[in-house]
Amino acid sequence: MNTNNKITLSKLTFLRKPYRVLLENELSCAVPSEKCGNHIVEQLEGRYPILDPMAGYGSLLSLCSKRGIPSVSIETNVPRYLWQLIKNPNLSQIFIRIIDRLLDEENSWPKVRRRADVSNSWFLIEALDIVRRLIKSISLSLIERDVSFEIKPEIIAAAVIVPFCGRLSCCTESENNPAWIKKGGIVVYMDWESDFKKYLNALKVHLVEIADRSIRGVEHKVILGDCRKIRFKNVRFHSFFTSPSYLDRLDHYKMFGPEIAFCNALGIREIKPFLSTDYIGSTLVRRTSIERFSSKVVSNFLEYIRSSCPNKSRKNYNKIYCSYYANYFYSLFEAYKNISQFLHSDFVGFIIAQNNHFRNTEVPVAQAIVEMWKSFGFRGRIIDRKEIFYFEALNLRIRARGIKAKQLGFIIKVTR
Amino acid sequence: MKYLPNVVYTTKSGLFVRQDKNVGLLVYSQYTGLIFVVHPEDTDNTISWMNFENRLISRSTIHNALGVGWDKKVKEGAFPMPHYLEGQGKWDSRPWPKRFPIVINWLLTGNCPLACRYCDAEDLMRQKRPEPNVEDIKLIASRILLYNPLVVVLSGGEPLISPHLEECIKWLYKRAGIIIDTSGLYLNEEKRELLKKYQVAVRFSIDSPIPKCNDSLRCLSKKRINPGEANNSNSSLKNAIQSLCSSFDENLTVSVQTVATRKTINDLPFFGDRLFSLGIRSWRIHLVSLPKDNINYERLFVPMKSRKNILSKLNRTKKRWKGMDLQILDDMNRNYAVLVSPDGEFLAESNVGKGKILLDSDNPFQPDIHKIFQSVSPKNHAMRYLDSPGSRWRGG
Ligand SMILES: C[S@@+](CC[C@H](N)C(=O)[O-])C[C@H]1O[C@@H](n2cnc3c(N)ncnc32)[C@H](O)[C@@H]1O
Ligand code: SF4
Repeated sequence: MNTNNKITLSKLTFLRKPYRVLLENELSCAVPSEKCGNHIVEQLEGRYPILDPMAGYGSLLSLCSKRGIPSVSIETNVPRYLWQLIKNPNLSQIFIRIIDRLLDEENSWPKVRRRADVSNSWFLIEALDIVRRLIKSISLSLIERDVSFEIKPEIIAAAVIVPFCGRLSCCTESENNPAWIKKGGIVVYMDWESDFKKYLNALKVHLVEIADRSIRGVEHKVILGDCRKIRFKNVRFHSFFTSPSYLDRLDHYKMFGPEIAFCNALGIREIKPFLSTDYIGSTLVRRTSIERFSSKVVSNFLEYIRSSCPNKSRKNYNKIYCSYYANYFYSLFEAYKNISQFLHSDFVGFIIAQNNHFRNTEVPVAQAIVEMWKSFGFRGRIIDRKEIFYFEALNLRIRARGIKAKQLGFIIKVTR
Repeated sequence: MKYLPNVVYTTKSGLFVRQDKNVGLLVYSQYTGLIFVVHPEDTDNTISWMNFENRLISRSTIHNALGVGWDKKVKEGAFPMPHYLEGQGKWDSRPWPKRFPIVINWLLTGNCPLACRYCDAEDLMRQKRPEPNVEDIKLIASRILLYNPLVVVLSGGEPLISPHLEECIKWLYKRAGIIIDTSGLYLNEEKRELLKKYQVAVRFSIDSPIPKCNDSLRCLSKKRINPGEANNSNSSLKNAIQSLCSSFDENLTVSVQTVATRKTINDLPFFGDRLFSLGIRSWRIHLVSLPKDNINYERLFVPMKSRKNILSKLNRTKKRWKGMDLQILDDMNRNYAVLVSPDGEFLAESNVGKGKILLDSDNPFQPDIHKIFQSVSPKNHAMRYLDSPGSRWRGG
């Protein structure tokens, strides 16, 4: 990992923690290590492009861009999708030009008279106005230069601005837990410009690094969509390398509260955020999905949860935990089932899964995945299993304690 | 220049000083709203510096804390905690002034537009005591001044809605430092001008950065009287922040005090970030002090375990708030303050949960100086204004 140009962004820039972490750490990845990731990618040689149907912050894109391998990434969470655009080396030069231009035009950034304000909602009109105007000026400059992209200029602009928009939101965050964010709070307008400058500079360092280390001229497709519903016409993939959403009972959708509210306010049709329940691993559970598929591994696990529950809180327990886990597994099932229709007969895939712990028992994520693929008529087996320190999205979780710190990491191989 | 001991003087820099045989020099800065002690060996030099007789003050701790506002920019300030500006010859142990109150809390009025759930002044408020007229105000002010307090804190109820605020401030002006405690609701332009003119430091009471939390603790009273509110949002947080911003814009001395309760304590590090970036350089956190029979005791009282936790967390996070004076007051003892009720009685909070007690039952309006500190602990009194009991937690 190249950390020469590493930038540290102080908490006092009020840049949201997820983005501070993403900017400070070059690789944010569901893969135990870059070495392990490379090792897997090597085994998929020739089966390009590699698909990641749940691409998160774009770990596969990172691996592939360094090695010059074409990739296709699908992500359902808009802020994460936008972050993948930042990571796409084919867009780096455009982003760098946008940043240079923004920095040149510092004097024309929108001004706010107030020092601060308070609101119960994510954004006040004044704040939305600033970010909207920035987006507008970026997209105009893109159009002026008469460059044509596959992606709308407003979306490119949103990818630059969304990671910063939280700075101007009325939110309250926790000191340690990045997924804990509350709507409502104080927004400090004073000196937002200097924080924006710090952000742009950090982003530029990040982009230059991406551009430098990537092999050019290779296609990386980033798709905003739900892998449970997506359809491919005349496309059959020869490989995938993926990892399911992490089961930490933190809501990774709510974590992006301000960003999602902002995307909604932007009103750009293509990046209209999905409902939170559409997100795999959401803590908001759709009642209907529960217990709708039969899996031995999952039913045993759910049975264990039910029986281990202290009597007095049984009702809540069933409601919260059983539904949550059942919903998670069912979503995974739906996702893999859908994807399985678009795989070529010589297909090879790798899934990295972590079994974390609940009430002193292992949550059998890997075993359930193997079972699912078998039920679709594939061969699935665990080819490696080790204790790893899991770092999806690096430190984004609560500082893991005790047993939770060590995760069992599994590499699953799926073939026809 | 020679100053008599125990008498308050204003220096040319505007700072208030009072010599104390036991301690050294007590100094109040209206540019920060903070009180400091200067070691005896540095006293003469510091006084001449504050009177522009010598341009330089050799000790940087003194310069950093006391130079702010007239010899140094606010952002360049640095405040040691406790507020003892130690020289080379340090005190053996930290002494405190034995007899004279450093601060007197004057509850100007019992009226208040808010009804905070933890308010410890409620037993003197809302018609429980007669409201003073102008003559009363003058009389009470002159009685207070006889004790030579370095600072008078105008409190209440809501001092800004006292019809005699201006009169009161004029009486105290230059005779003692003045701090006003306020919810900020009535701080309109006219009042801000008044406070600016008489160099009154404004201390806003804000508990949480989350509107819902703040507003449910510091809730607007339904039956409030409205003599021209400055802000009319129905969120007390929004009102306070707006007033605070306007005060900053007009260069008033602004600080914040926060009552920490079970509900809000975990948000304090984040709150500190916001306050700091707003420009706040002095923040006092009081762990809520409530008698056990208060109906809100269970809901608000901060358990011992979370106290330790949050205090050590705050001591960690305060490193990012460079140049901010953070005082964490965790007073289990309630007998630290000299209070004056709206009708002029001198009182203290009882340490054994008996509510307010008269300092001198023979002379309720002008207690004997010796009697004051029979009910108010001199040590707790000094700690309250100079030391931070919470600072004992430093380093965990
Ligand atoms: C009684 S108020 C009067 C001035 C003004 N109304 C205000 O709220 O700022 C003075 C200060 O005491 C604080 N306070 C009230 N009750 C308290 C308690 N039980 N424990 C600690 N502080 C308390 C208030 O939050 C406020 O900061
Ligand atoms: S605003 Fe001050 S005086 Fe009024 S109820 Fe709240 S704490 Fe008490």
